[in-house]
Amino acid sequence: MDPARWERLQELFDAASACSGPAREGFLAGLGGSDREFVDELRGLLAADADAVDALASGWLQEPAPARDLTGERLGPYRVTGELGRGGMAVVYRAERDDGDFAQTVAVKVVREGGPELARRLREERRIQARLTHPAVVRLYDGGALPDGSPYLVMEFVDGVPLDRWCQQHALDVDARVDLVLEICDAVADAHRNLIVHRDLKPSNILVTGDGRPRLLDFGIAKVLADDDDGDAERTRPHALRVSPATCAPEQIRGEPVTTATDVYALGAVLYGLLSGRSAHDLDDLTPLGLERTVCEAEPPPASSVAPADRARRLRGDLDVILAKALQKDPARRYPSVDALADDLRRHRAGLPVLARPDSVGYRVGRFVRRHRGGVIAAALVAAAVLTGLGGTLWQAREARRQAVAAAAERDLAQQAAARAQSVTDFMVSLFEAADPYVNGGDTLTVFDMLDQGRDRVDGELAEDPAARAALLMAMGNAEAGLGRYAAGDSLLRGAMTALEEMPSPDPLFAADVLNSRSLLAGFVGDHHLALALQRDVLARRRAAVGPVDRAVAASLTSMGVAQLYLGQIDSAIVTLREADAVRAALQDPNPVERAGGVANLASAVQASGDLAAADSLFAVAAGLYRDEVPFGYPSLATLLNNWGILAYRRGDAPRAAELLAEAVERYADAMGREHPYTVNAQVSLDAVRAELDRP
Amino acid sequence: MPQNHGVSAFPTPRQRGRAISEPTDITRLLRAATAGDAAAHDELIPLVYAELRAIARGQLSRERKDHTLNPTALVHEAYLRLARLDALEWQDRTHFYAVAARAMRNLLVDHALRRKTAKRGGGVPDVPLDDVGDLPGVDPEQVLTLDAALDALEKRNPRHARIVELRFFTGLTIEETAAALEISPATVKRDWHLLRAWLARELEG
Repeated sequence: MDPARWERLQELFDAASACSGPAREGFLAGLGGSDREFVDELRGLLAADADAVDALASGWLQEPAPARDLTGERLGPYRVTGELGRGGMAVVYRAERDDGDFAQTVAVKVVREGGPELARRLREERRIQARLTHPAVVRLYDGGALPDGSPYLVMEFVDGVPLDRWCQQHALDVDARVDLVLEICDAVADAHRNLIVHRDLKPSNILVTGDGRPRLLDFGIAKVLADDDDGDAERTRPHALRVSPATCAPEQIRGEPVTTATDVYALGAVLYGLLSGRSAHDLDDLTPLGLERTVCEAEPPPASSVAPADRARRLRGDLDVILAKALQKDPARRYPSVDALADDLRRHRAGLPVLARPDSVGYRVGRFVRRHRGGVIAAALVAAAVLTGLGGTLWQAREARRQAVAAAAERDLAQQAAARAQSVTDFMVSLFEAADPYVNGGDTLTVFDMLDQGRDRVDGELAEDPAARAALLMAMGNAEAGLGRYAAGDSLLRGAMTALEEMPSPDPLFAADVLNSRSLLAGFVGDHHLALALQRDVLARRRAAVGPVDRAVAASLTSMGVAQLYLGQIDSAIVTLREADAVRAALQDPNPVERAGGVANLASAVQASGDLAAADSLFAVAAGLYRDEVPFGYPSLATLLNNWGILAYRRGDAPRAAELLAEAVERYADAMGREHPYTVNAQVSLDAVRAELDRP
Repeated sequence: MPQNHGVSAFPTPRQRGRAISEPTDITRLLRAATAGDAAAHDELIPLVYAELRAIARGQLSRERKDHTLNPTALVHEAYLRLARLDALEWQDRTHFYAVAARAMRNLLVDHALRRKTAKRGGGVPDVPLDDVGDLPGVDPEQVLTLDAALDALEKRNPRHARIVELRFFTGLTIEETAAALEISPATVKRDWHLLRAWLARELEG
């Protein structure tokens, strides 16, 4: 395939990935049959994409499917009635006992075609499970061999749903989730007393039955601690060991000895997932190496920082610390036993102080220095982040000086701003020094480490200086939001607001800016109700401080209008956006570019109301304003042209649509390059419109 | 800064490293390569290869019990070692990673080839089999499949081949890959989406 075709393939791959189901089929069908090989290639890549994440993160490809389906066949007194599920090395069937004595449903696990090694594993599982009698562990009834010699196990049939789904379906609160994990802890501790380590604890191996009791299954890769004869085989063939990326411990990935501490880790990972709603590690987009780095090196964020807001408060403190201790990288630093983990959870449930303590700063820094990796390139990112921060504060300092000269009456506020800028600058510089390899001895901190350190230090070092604290928390909150950690960002921004409220006379415009950041962040995560409520507050504060005719007031109105548009409040959105435009028109020093942006939003709102003709003229007005003012490749103008082109297409004017979209493509390409998703998006629309024009 | 990743600019995977070079040699070449000297880039690969292999041996005997490599640590350590021996500046780092990823690929391919030779009973291998170890989670056979597929990808889009090397053979994150290639993380993210599917399919086949 030549480079041009490959490039085209990537464009179409991106476009097709953006849609699914019938929309994708329609898209692929629209490509026509002229170049079958090309389209087949595209389909092949899209199909591979669907399971690429799993394949790459959990160590390559699936086992071959079993040779045949056993449904309908008879195994001793059991008749197989259907398949229940399949895992890495076995298929589990549902079967009925119907030998006349009594009726009973069981689960039958049959090893997949895979040779003597897997058969040996199944016999091992039988031996292991025979030792376990805890009520929360699934019962083993029987075992045998198929005519071809493949062994099978007959086990209790558990009619239940996986632990995580059960918690979701029943909207269980934090206490109920902890209680379920406590029951599992009991079962695992019982196995440990029998010298058995489960090694693969995960929500799908824990079923909850109708009466709300959890049952532990699948001891398929469990290990008896006493004998270590087969350990070496596994250690020398790491790709043969299949573990679950979300719950496996660092020692499992590194091929180091597995102990009861491995199950402590997995129970911590299960609880983390149940409480926060996310996996402890971001497992999207991982290669096998990425998985190793993430599990062995990345500290999971505190569960409270990623949990839904209603649960976050409850997790902060005890549960965060308990989870951190269970999820320690070094097995020796975890709870010494599952019982110890369960005890601490029970202490927490009883309102007693827990025994776990957070890691000291000294330990964390030491770990970082020992690792000597993971941050060499990150130094460049840190430098960029800090310089951006400094740029902002330097601007603030200049702004402060300008204000001080301009208006004596505002001197107090200006001095406040100057002092704030100075403290922020000093603090940023000190963080930068911490990230400098020449100062801290050869290792570097990542942006995340810097932000985490910054947060820890802000409260201590700037306790007496709420203005600087607020400015820093706001800068860090915006940085976190920029890095995609929205919950952490919002919590910092709320901290900034609290700091402002400590001051006798805080700068009202600064408070409005903090709330504005929170509103924009709420918009990013799709909470347009919150975005709208916060923006109303921003508007009120700005109006009170500077009056009704002001650029910031107009910006607030536009943000409100956009939120209303997202919420489907089309009529209100139109009113708000018109008001924004009226304010901009009344400004002494009007800014045509801002006005154009406002009118473009208004055009979208009017289009949403169904008045396509009026929307069309508003797009024309906005485009006229932009064209007089901005350079050729101005991205907002390109977006406007793209939207306008789509509108023209909807109005049935395909030639006009093609004209507008072509201009949008050129302007996007000029601003952001041919490969930018926006450019490609416009190009795909343009191709579709042109294809229609070419049709006889 | 110009990138010189021409198809023919690379030595074949079977090109062996020489004796460990003088560090100043590497620094000088890295500076020249960073400034756009393609010949310097080519000369660097076997030098960094030798460095990586020396460290890999030490790493395996020291800490790893499972005979797998930790290429990310390896590459970082190689960099730190060179940086300590000679004053490398951080601008040099970005280019170093591009070179190191290629050297790492050669290292793993050579190792996989030796393994295969030994399996076929093709005589005593010239070095012990556990010389450098395997890439965790990846079958040595797959390394060879991937190596051939990467040569084909190179012709379609050299940048795509670099991204796979950096992500797959060196374990760099999206951001680190972007920094090493001096392109935006958004571009790497977009490319990786396609390349991930491409990889899964190539290795399945």
